[in-house]
Amino acid sequence: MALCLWLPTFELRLELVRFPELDTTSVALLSPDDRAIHTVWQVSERAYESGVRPGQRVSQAVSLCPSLTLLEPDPAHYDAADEAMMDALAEFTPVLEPAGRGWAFLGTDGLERLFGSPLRQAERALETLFRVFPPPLVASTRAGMAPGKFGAWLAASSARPGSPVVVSPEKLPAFLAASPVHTLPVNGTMLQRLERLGIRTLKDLLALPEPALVAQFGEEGRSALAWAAGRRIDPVRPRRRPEPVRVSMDFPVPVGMVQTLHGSLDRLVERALSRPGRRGRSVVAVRLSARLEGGGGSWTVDVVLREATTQQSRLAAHLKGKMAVSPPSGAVETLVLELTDFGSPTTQQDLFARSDSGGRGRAGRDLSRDEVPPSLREAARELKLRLGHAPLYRVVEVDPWSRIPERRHALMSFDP
Amino acid sequence: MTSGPDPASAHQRLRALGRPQPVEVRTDDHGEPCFVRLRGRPARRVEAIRERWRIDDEWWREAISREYRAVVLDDGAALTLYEDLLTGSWYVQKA
Repeated sequence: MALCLWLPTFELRLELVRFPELDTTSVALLSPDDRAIHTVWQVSERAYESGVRPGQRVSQAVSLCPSLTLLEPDPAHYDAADEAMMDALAEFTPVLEPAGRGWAFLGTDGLERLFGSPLRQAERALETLFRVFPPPLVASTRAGMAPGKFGAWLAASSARPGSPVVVSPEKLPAFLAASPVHTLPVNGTMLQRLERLGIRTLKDLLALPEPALVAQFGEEGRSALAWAAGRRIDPVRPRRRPEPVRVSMDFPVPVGMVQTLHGSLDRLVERALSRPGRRGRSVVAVRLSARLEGGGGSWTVDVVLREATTQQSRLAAHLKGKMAVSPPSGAVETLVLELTDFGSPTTQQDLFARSDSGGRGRAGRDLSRDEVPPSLREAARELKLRLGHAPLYRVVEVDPWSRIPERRHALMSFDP
Repeated sequence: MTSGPDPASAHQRLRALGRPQPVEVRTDDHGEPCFVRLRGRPARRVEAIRERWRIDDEWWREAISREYRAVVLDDGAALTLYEDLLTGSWYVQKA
């Protein structure tokens, strides 16, 4: 069974805990993404009653609710609170999967003898939160339990604060059938088409024959049916917690100039990559954050790389790109760089890595003799010794625009 | 003493990717595929024909004339089949 705990508007509630005097007023939290045009991200109940909605422009929100208090987001504070929440829940079960701030899945298999029935387990998880956090923050927590994360999430969405909804394996198909079709974890285009076809609930979807769905939507159609029927049970995957590599730089005078920040960023990336904790691992995700001048909050950007890298220039370029799109809203007092997730050991990737700055993107195009990496040449030599020939091939373009498919590409023996 | 073929020489040739494989197809009265049997597998009913196109090429040497169909089988598998219009044989191909 999976237990989903969900704290809606987690970030706004954190601000209301920090500024309790705002609790009875109309409050809105600004979006952390749109720096050019400020938009509203989360709104308090009072602001909602006045017509303020997430996604509205600030000017529109203020015209609807002149007494609206606007708060700048403080992502570093939210991340720290979320991390504290995960640490607290880790005492309840080691099978814990974070799914975003204020949202987590817990694997509860095997906890019956410790905590009792599934309902009791969900209540104990809520009690854990109440022990650690102030009630205003966690009072609205919704809890749902079902076989698999999809069912647990739907159960939590339908639960009232403090009253967990538990769906047993036998009742899962009937519970899912009543859910709206837009809850399916499939791509948006498919959902739009289903709704245009008049499919409103998962029950409507289940009435369609599988071959017809596959003919319309391909493999995604089959996947949607499996979700809707409760045949696909997605287990909770416990989080890996690689020890992040963290480096920081304090500025004696707050810095607002982009060039200075870029220079500091280059030095931070260099320092982070040379840390012993990073050695032997490539980098997949990195976070750049800043403490802003005069208690002006914090600023954070996250970068997840398509391909793991150890190249300083690539990491810095990604971060500078993010910084250009979403720059800090004030002068920076402290700049912090964290390598938050790592790829497989670099020895596995060296086979096709380049010693120059070409990177993997050039693989297979310019693999002339001079460019063959030593590791690949060594692997081919060993295979040749064992088999009598090098069983390696490269894909070459023969006539890539040919109308006849088998004329387009060919395999050519590769013996470096 | 006779010497066999050099085992390494077989690996020196260019090998085309996506070569068509013969497949057993039963057609309906209109010549459309209705059952497909892939090698070593049971026959499957063709549930839908998603797309079709024709290729006529190289008439100046060994002519090629194929009628392609992208089909969905009753187990949900998607295949690209073609009928060789010169011989009447059917093939499956990664197009």
